[in-house]
Amino acid sequence: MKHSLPILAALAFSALQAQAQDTIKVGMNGALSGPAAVLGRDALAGLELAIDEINAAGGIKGKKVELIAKDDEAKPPLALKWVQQMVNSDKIVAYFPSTNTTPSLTSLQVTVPAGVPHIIAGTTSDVVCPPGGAPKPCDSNVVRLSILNSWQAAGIAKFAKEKLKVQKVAIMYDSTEYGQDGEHLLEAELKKAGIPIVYKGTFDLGEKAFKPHLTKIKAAGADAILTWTLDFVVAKIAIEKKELGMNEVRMVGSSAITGMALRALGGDAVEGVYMADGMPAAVTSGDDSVKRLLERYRAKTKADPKAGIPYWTTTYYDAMHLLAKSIEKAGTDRAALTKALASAGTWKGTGVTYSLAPEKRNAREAGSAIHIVQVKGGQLVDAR
Amino acid sequence: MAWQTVIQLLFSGLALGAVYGLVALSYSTIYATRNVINFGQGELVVLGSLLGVSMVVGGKVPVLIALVVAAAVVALAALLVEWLAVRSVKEVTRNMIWVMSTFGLGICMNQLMQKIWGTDPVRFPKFIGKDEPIQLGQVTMLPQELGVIIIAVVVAVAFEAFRRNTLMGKAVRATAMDRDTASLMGIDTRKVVYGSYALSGALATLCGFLVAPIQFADPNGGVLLSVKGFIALVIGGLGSPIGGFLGGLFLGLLEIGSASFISEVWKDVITFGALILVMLIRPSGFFGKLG
Repeated sequence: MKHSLPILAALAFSALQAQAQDTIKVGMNGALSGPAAVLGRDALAGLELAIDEINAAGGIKGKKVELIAKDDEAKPPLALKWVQQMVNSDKIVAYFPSTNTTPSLTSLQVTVPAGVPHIIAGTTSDVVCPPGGAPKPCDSNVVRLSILNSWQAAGIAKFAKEKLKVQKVAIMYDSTEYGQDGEHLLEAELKKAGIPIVYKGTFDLGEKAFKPHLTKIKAAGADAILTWTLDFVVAKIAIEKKELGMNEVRMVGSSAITGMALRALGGDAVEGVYMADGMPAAVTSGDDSVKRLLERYRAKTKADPKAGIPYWTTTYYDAMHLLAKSIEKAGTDRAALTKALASAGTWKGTGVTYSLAPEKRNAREAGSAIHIVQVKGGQLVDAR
Repeated sequence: MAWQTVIQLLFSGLALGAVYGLVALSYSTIYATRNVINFGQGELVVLGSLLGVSMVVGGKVPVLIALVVAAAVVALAALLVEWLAVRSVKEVTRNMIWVMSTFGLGICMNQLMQKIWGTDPVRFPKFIGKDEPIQLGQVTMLPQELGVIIIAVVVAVAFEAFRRNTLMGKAVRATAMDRDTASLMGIDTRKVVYGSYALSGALATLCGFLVAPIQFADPNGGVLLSVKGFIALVIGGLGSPIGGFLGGLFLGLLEIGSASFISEVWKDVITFGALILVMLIRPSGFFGKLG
């Protein structure tokens, strides 16, 4: 929790301000410590960047936005405790759940009965607010700006077949809900694409040695390894793969590895690794809105100059602006605000276009949302 | 499975086991003084590697100098463990409270480190040889991994020689056997205890420096190292440092072997099952003596 002191100070300061003037409170849960903290902190950075802009421009209808950000450590019981406090005591007008699947799902237990607008900007799991309303429609208070795991799995399988022309693949996934979800989805998409899976390996996030998996993958003759796990794990797999001289075996990962950690930890070993992303490679896309945000993101997080902006920072950023726009229109009444969010229509966000309607709660589209990017010279570039 | 693959995995198991073995060795130096285990020992390893990252990566300090400085700091931290979690508790209660106090102090240290260094794993550059793996026949290995095995074995053997052959070593063994009698024989047992904790901290630092370039310097990695090092020590024998080290090698080989030849999913079941089996057949471990 590198940033905890400034956050605490900011919270304390904003708490003092809150007594003096009326503010619009928004709540956010996220892993700000523990192994998934890199996701939570980049999400928080996105919200804060947007709130800084909104407050600098005079707030919403003259009221400043106050962020109540809590560290759920990606643990559902903590997420539940914090969301209860935010909804019942702090009276937040809207809620941003954790980037992690299970704490995100858990918090619905509180926001659905209370009717608090629930804006998903990070969670990619199909279990939360499923596209097309199956097996059950999205909860009435939910809208989502982030991409979905099923879209990524389809994008990865398509890329592996059409661009990489792989014959046999191996799947490596962690034992969390996230990893297992990804494995099921990949398996289904690979079956559709007619690519045989010659090896499936699972592991805990704390795993220290991947050679037992890799030697089997080598023996099975897979020409690509598809991963569904976090960045520091993929870095370790890539390092050991290089050590075993398996340079011809390509790696393709899910969007959880688009942050800087993969490249910082993996160094040369992750050169060439492909991954699904929710937007084109930020730096090379030439989109000014992304570039401006990227500069402010780097200044705020003191990020490595080679770091692109993680796509979930942009979704949280865009989600906060969507919320501000909706409050301008409908005020802070929970029901009216929910309706305004779901009727936002089509608008341009950071490098991507979103579209929301009461019957379409996922703001991105299956076909166009997924971009495959690749590590080149320590940066992310669009894969060709 | 081809023989090259088997050798490759054997080597992998030894590299992993050497790390567990060094943790076990650092455990046993403390155990040798008051029959106490520092359940926060893994955090000392992590502290060593994070100090190393700050100096080597952040401050461009040569690795050897960084190692000496970090070892000194971690030795002080180990003395703090003795002072806060062992001495204060043990002399008052004479019961098992040290289990919780050492474990709890480990958690405190972990939280403190996360405040200072953050929660993300950090890269520690390889300092033995280059980043490129070396080829031996059809087996490839990183020079760093080979270095870990060699250094760990040398340290373990040197440590055992020190215990057996030097006056200081004999004083440590005498203190472990019977502190009061050792004291009556003119051994300054307090100095022996302090020396042992400091040495334990230094060993933990060495372990941190060796493991970080392969596994990253991971602020969250302490608990796992504590547990695996402890299992290695119990399998090898509580009173025997070299036994603990060999227990570590055995554990590393068992983990990699079971993951490779049986199933990754059953790896932990097999590892912990082996621990229970050793406890049943030889409660004192392979090399330990009871009592």
